[in-house]
Amino acid sequence: MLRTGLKVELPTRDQLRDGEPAAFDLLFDAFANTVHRHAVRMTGDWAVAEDIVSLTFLEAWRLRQRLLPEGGSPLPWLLGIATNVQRNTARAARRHHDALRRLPVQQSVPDFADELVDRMHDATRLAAAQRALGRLRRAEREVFFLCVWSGLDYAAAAEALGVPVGTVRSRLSRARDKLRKIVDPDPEPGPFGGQLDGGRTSAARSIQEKHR
Amino acid sequence: MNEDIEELARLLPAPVEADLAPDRHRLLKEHMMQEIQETVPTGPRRRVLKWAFAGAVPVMAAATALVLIGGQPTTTTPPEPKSPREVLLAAATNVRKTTSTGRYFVTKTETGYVFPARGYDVLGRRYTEDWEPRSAQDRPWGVMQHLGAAPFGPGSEAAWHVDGSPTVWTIPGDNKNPEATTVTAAAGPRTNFGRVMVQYKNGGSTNVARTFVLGGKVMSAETMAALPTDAAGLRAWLTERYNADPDPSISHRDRLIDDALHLIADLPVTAQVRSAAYRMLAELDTSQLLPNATDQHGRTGSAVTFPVKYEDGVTTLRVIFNEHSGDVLSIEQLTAAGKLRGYTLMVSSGWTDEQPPAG
Repeated sequence: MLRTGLKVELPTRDQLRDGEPAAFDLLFDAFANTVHRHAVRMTGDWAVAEDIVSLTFLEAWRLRQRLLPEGGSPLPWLLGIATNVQRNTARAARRHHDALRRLPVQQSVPDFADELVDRMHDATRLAAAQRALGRLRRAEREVFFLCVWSGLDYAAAAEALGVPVGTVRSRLSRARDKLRKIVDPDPEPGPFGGQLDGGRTSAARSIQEKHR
Repeated sequence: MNEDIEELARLLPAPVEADLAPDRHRLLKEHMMQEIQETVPTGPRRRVLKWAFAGAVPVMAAATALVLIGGQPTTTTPPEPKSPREVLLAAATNVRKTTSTGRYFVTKTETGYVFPARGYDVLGRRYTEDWEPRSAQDRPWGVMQHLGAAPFGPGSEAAWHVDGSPTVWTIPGDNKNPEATTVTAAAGPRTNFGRVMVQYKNGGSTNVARTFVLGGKVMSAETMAALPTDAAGLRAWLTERYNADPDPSISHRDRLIDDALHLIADLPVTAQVRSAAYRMLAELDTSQLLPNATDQHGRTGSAVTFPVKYEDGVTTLRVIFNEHSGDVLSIEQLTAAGKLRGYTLMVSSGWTDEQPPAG
């Protein structure tokens, strides 16, 4: 269904806080992809990323009144929720297990071979980057994902994580110091290329299976 | 200030541009909308609005396939006087014979709305066709069309000429619909909305298929399919919703009438639930019967009137229906002076196994 013209429309904070279904419809159109990219980069797992997208929007619905009435785009709030969901996917999945059980069945592999190849290539590069990020503390990594890969500025990341701006700045600074030591600034093919990371989480999926 | 971010982006650029596939986007969104529909905090007032003021706001869709709704068969035996209760109970019995199976619930509706111009009234009309699939796997479909507008009522034609024979009118905004609306004499194009348009109280709208408003709340198709099938149970179920979602602008009794009329006219429920809704209406003691009423398309049926008290001055709802089939022909809103304020005319309504038109 074409929904031309609606894509760029943003719901107001009041509409979201009031629990207008139409506002969440718009919110999803505006940011589902952003949350999905964020989730893929955080987890390196496409299946888990879809669960995180669903859980993030269900949590946003549940927690809508915690959204501050004043402010700009609701994206920092949403990515903050996504960060929390990723930090404890199992807990969020438990809370919404009935909803997850009704999630549309996922395709385990992409439709087309070239898409599959692309995805494997992406996964390989992602796994490499994540091994580097594995050297960071979790709090540093979360700020890294928000600011560097999802493009939030310090203030937005602070809103997302509910921490002072200074904390965001110092975490990023530490992340930079650590990554400088371990990452070749011109990674071609990259210092950690090669194998896909093995033990990827799928907490949401396994909980979902139990209730099926 | 952002040097750290810039340096980090150089050190470790974002490795993946992983958009959701369009079909996954759609499915995940539908899933989210279904999950939140059941817990919508304050229901949109669309239902009451729909009958009360069909004012040029495209509200929602309505109705169906198979057989066009017709008037009563002409009978050879002289009609005996009956009470509203008897006629409603007859419809309650007869409607049980209708089918509740089918892949789609289809409503085809003409909505009329009367508004004042300079010294005369104008009637605007809109057609809506809505195909709601029983299964979430099937495609919903809908179309809406402005059918045109014309002077309405005795003497309106002459007053319209005096006014300079305008072909465009403006309905000023009010509390409920703050935006002024322009209505043209000429019909408009058919707009395919593919999915049902739901209008929200603050003017937002969304396209959510398989959701319906009952008891002031948005309900899923699954909830509609599981409603109580007896009058007392249905009434208790609805009353529970009213208590959970109070609305000072309208009495419980008026909300009950509004919901019952939708249940018999244009909601995807079983014949048993429609029968229960007819019985619920029969139990309300204040109504009048007109044995041979005619709707705006000239179809004849029994009419029962219910006094109501709406904020916009509507004091009477008149439902014209075929007591032999339980089909609703039209629901009309009248003012204290007996003037028509608007109507929702069911061209057809019911379940079908047909597929919606392509496109």
